[in-house]
Amino acid sequence: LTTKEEGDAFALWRQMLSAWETNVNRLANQSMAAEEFSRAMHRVGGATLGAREAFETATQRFLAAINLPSRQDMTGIDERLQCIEAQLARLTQLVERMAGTEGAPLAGPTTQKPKRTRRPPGEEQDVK
Amino acid sequence: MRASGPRAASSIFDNVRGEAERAIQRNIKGVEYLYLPKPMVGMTPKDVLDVRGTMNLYHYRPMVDEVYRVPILFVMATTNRGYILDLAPGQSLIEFLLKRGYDIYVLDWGPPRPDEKGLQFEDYTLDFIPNCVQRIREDSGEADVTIIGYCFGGVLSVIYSAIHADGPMKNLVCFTTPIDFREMKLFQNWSNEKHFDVDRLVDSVGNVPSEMIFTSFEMLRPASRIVGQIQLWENIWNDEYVKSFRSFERWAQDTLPLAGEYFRQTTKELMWANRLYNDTLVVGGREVRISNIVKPILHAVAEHDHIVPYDAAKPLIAKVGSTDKEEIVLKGGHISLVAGANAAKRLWPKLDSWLGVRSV
Repeated sequence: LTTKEEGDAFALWRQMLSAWETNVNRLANQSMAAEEFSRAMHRVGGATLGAREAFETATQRFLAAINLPSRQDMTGIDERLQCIEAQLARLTQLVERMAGTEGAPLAGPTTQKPKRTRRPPGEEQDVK
Repeated sequence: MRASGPRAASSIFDNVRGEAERAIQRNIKGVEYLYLPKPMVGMTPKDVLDVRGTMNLYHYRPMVDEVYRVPILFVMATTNRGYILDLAPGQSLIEFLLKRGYDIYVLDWGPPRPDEKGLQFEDYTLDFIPNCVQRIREDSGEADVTIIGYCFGGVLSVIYSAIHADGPMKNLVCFTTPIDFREMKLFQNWSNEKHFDVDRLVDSVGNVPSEMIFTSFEMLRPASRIVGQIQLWENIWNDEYVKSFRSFERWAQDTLPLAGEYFRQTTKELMWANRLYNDTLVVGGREVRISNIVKPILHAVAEHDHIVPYDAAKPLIAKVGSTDKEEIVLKGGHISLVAGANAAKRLWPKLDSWLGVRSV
């Protein structure tokens, strides 16, 4: 008789792979559930954050020295642009309202609306 | 019995030949794979109804002439893109529901801009969601809206529903929505109050980078990425497998950054104080009590969810005040619950039958 294993030469390999995945995930989960892991993770994270903060401060000083805008300056400009965009959107809406086309989508064609009278299949049969 | 010997030999020969052919295909397709463009996702036709910073409201174009009266608003998880609900034609929950006669809107999130680092629960549940609901009411001409929340989109939908108990929401559907955050054991340990300085992190980075969110998801199952790559190599001769793998892979890696204050609030209010579960959460000065939710509710949870374990999701149905309430536990994981072949067999038909009678 042809067994399932004979029909699939890689069945044993797949089983092993699946078992390996389950075991590694389980062991890793056990380790990561320990408080010591959390402590170590945040110690490394804190050090990285500290280095990042120091680098950012140094970069900001350097950019100021060579008279170039920093990321913070660019973000400020971006914020102002967003405000202008929002105001433009409000004005567009106002114009649309005045033109009587309020409710139209911002992009894409306006499609004809379907009837909203659909009933679930069982009920539909009952009505018929 | 005598015939079993030659038959077995022939079967082994066929297998060896089959594997040899696959090995050749693997080499050819393996080279092709390296040059494949990004998979196309989220292709179901839609219109952009509203955009405001991180918030995007889409309306999908109906695929039938007659739809159910009550429109549906999907609220996507803030950590991931909404196209998991619309991966590819034939693998799309959105397309499935459109063909079944539902009018679909999706509240999807983009990466929060630097100036949106101050967004909080208040912005999501007292501004974004209510405004989208209002926009849908105007667009559809219907007073009622059904809300479907996925993962953390479910948490936001629950908070919205609890605050707006008398609002226009007709039905609530949640997919794998955590309520008891003590039960998210690994996330609990990683955000341990004794060791995790969330204030320093948020004050330093503004918005929490997507790499950090992605890594935390990956760490839950560290061996699965390696096994996934091995399985891809094994099945690389199979175009359908590769297509599906690449779509899921693209989505999983397309993790979003989180607004800093929102992350701080999630850590302190939900992970540390477990306020949603304890009914002590206050959003915009309003108490969030899950028991205030009295509308029909369906909660779909996955049996093998490694992100939101069942014990974290279980209290939702127990705590709501609704009389029409149902929880379904389906085989699968956090993602395969909503997308992929198993979702199409299990969740989608169930969702259709539950929603149909409640959407008229």
